[in-house]
Amino acid sequence: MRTLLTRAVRALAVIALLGMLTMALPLLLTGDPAVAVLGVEATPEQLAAFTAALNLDASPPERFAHWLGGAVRGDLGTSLVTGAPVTAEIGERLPVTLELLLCGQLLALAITVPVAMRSAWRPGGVVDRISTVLAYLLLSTPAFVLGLALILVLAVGLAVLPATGWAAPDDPVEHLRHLVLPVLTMGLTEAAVLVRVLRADLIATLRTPYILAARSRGLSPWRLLWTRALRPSSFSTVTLVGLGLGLAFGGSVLVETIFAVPGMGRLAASAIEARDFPVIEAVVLLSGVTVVLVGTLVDLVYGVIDPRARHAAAH
Amino acid sequence: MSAPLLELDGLSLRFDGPAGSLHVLESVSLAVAEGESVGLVGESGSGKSVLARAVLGVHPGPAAPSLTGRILLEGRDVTDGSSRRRAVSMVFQDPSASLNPVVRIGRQVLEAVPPAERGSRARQRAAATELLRAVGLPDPGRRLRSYPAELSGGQRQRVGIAAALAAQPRLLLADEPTTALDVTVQQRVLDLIGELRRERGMALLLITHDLGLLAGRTDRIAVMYAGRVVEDGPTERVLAEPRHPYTRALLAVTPRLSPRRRPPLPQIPGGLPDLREPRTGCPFAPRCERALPECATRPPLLRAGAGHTVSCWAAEGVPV
Amino acid sequence: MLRRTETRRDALVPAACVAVLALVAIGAVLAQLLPQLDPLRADFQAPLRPPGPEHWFGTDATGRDVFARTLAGGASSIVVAAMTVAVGLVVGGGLGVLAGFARGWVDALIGTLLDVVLALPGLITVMVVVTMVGPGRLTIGALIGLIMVPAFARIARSATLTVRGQEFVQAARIMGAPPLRIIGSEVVRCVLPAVAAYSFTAVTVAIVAEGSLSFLGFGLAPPTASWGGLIAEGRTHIATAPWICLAPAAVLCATVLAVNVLGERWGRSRP
Repeated sequence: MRTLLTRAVRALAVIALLGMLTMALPLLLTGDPAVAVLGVEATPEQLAAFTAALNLDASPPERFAHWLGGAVRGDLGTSLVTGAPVTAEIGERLPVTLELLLCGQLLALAITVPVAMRSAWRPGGVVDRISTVLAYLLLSTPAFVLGLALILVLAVGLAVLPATGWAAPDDPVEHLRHLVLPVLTMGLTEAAVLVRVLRADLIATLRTPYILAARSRGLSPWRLLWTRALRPSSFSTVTLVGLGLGLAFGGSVLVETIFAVPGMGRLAASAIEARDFPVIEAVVLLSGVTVVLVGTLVDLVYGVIDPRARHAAAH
Repeated sequence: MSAPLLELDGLSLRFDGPAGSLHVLESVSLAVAEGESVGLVGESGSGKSVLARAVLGVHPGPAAPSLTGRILLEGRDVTDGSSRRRAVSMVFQDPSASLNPVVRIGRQVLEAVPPAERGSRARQRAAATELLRAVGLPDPGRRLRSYPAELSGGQRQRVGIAAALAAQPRLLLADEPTTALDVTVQQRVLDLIGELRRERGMALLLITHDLGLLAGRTDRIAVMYAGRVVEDGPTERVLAEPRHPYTRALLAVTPRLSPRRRPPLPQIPGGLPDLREPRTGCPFAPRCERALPECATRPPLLRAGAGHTVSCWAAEGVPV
Repeated sequence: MLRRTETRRDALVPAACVAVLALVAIGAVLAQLLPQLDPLRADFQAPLRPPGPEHWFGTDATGRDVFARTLAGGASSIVVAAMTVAVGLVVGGGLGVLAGFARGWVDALIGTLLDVVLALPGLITVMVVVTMVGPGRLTIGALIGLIMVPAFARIARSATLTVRGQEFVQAARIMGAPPLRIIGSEVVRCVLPAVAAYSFTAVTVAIVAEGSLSFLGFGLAPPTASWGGLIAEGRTHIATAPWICLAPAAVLCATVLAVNVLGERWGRSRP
């Protein structure tokens, strides 16, 4: 109980500090931020309006308090570029990125779990060596290179998929066709990391006495891996998958840029180019809050995965 | 005389790794008859746990050892790793480590029963409850849904025993089943294993480093040293008239059974030989008080009495 | 027989990795010195030439030699990676040692600050700051380094905690040696190898991050050559002249792979 409280206090402190840091970003601009954004030709009225709209005269803590006050009422400010509410901009882009992320993570897990199991069952065996080499090649291929390679092969070479672009779910076939390449890029990149982590944890679990005991009782390799070894080996993998959700706010910028997907990443990139501070602040803060919340949540999930953690917490 | 339930016939076992080979067992011969209870005693590192796992047919880690000689179970050769057909189960050393922390006790207890034979959920519950009741776990019906972390050490080992019984084995291997437990609990767990063995007519191979535990519990004792069985005989005879110098040294460091009433030695001086080389002579010779020049060559197997054999140059007896 | 081929491969793989990195480094230096390898020299008569004896990696849309530009891009990666590791080692290592040695509220405070950095969306944050303070190899390297500070600090902290418990440090404390001197000598000597092992990862992260930033147009501004920037430029011609982005992409991947493999060997060689 006490640890839970300290965790909560620390999480709130992290969010508060993050908020102030984010609100201090305009201070990085040399001189008056209003002049820096609007240019020297701007009239004093324009500059004053800009300063007032962003509440730039206030200190970062005050600005954060103001932002927070709006956020709890569902008001994240107004985009300087489009004039639309930031919540509306995000509401339009977030589902696209969430769909990408969810499909990407599912693909990554669908690849990771069977490959890690086969590798860990016979470390140094043929499957393990091939998967290790492939994982290293993938780990060393940045997402933007992998994306271009996939475009080159599947869109340019074989011409079976559209290279870039996005189609609304109204047209399910086109929607899926446009989904494949970005999801492949995300899933493969993530799988390369997850396979290494899960394989190492599975190998450690497979050496434990309780797995030896289960094997001696005649459990088939398949049942042994799925029902006995996977769960105690999944802590790090669950953490990584959970933290991957923090990417929902802008972290998918690379994949979205390569494939011209109108998601949160593109929103963030264009906001940064235009110095659209209300959007930038919302993206950074929502991303940070997600990471903090997921971190806390993952700790709770541990309790579900591992009764030992639950048992220890109860005492 | 019918074939014994378990027969090891000149069993040698070697682990091959990148850093070289480990010659763990060297030409071990040992038999356990139907319903018989045998104690296997030796220091840690003598190979007794590896022997148990060879009988069980599983080894930790991916590296399978290479075996020569034969393991016969109910007269069947299972050396090549073929199925033990649930004839053997094992009670493991540390119940905290050998129970899966994330699987409910009810499921783990029935692990050894193939899914096809389990029947309905209600039947499984009844079977698991019955097993837990048999090992004396209080409130067995409620315990089915517990996780190992919610039990005490002694209770966990009772669960471990129940899991071993589930397959209705004819041979129960118990590898140091009480070393990880409190002294107060040790006797009760050993008594439980003994009772269950008699009730169910199982044979028992009880592995321990503590000769004192075996008095009154086993029919026979086999003493292992550096991967070899050096002495094998009826429990009373081995304890009263040990023939091998190593058995004598072991008895001397076992306070309750020391035949000579002198202050017990803290331990036998010296250490086990290097297992990376095959042993040429008697492996105990470097630590032996009575070592002879002949000890550099392999000692003969001598009959020292009815069912009592010893492998030593200095012992008296008739060559087998 | 089997063992002999194993050992030969064990020696061959790191040698190949070192060779790749050496070639990238030598190429980066030569690109600064040799006029033939000037990344900006454009041959307007020969745009979009495929790879051949004249231009090993072909030419781009304005006839610039892709090989020369790839070598020059390597120089950027090296500078950025060096800066990242320097910042990570000094700031992250320093904070980690401090947190591990001081414990108590200092540890909690540093931990909270590091959590703040961890909560930041890394790439986005660097993009924001770069647009405001202007791009530059050292700026970008330092920013990536700052984002990696928590990772360095966590490793340094746990290594410090291990060392702290060891007898000689305890003895030095009891003897009344000033804490700074203990940190200065023994602790750093023991913590450094652990943090150095992580530097391999930091180098790969720096190279990939710099490439990503430049690819997105938030990294090094032209005319400074960068692998990510070259790949982004080549994108428009990917169907007709794939070598423009494939050549720097292959060199980028080979470099990261070499560092990854060497890092893994290094980590494995230490207990």
